[in-house]
Amino acid sequence: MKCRELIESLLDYVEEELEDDRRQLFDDHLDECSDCLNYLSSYLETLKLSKGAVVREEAESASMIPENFVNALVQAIPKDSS
Amino acid sequence: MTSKGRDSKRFESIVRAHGGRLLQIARRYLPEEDARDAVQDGLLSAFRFLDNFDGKADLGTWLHRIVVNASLKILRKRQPAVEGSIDDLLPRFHPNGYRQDIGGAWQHSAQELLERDEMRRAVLRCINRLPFRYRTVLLLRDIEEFDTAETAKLLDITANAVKIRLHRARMALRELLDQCLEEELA
Repeated sequence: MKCRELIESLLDYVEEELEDDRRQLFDDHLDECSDCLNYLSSYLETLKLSKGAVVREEAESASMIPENFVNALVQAIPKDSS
Repeated sequence: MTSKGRDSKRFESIVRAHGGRLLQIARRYLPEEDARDAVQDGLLSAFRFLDNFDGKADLGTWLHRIVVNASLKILRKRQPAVEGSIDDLLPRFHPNGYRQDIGGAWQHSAQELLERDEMRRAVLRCINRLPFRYRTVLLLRDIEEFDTAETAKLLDITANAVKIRLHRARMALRELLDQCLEEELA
């Protein structure tokens, strides 16, 4: 397996959707290619960074809904006329 | 009280219980004013179908999906007709299959980087730099954790298109973060 093929298969590898024989080829290549190993590592860290940044940002920003927005939403609800 | 009146009261309690969380979700896709519009559109749509909600699924999950849909609808209207390419952010290869632009290992883990405010903000800026078709798949799969089939349905594309776009989005984001790390940590 060459580097190009490995990087093209990264998503299937990470999602554990590679067939066993291809997974073996993938692992064998990683054993010999530090560049691909670094790329895989940074790919995995990218997933953690993107999720982590969004989750941390939301944890630190207010999750309370502004009262004027609540009132506007409630006013917009169709009311019974009787 | 009439059934409609009871529904309105019920709906107000839903707004108060779930509205804050739904607004945070909409903000992942949209700036503040548009995010509020998405939540309003989504909740009013939910109210129309409240009688159809059978209670088998979790109400919060049902509302989450409705607001994501409403956010995507607004986002589609806002996207420019022509978006930039991400080709420059994807790995390039020699004819023999080896990578052209070999870089080194990242020296810091995601956990370490996320401790720093400026890095978290930089990551969010990088996500927002991705073109619409890649940013939405990344948000839906990697942040919202919808599966491939659900993501395909939300975006009205095939499952294969979701996988291709997701992989390209992740590789492009990886490259943006790599450049960003060089700048921020220099």
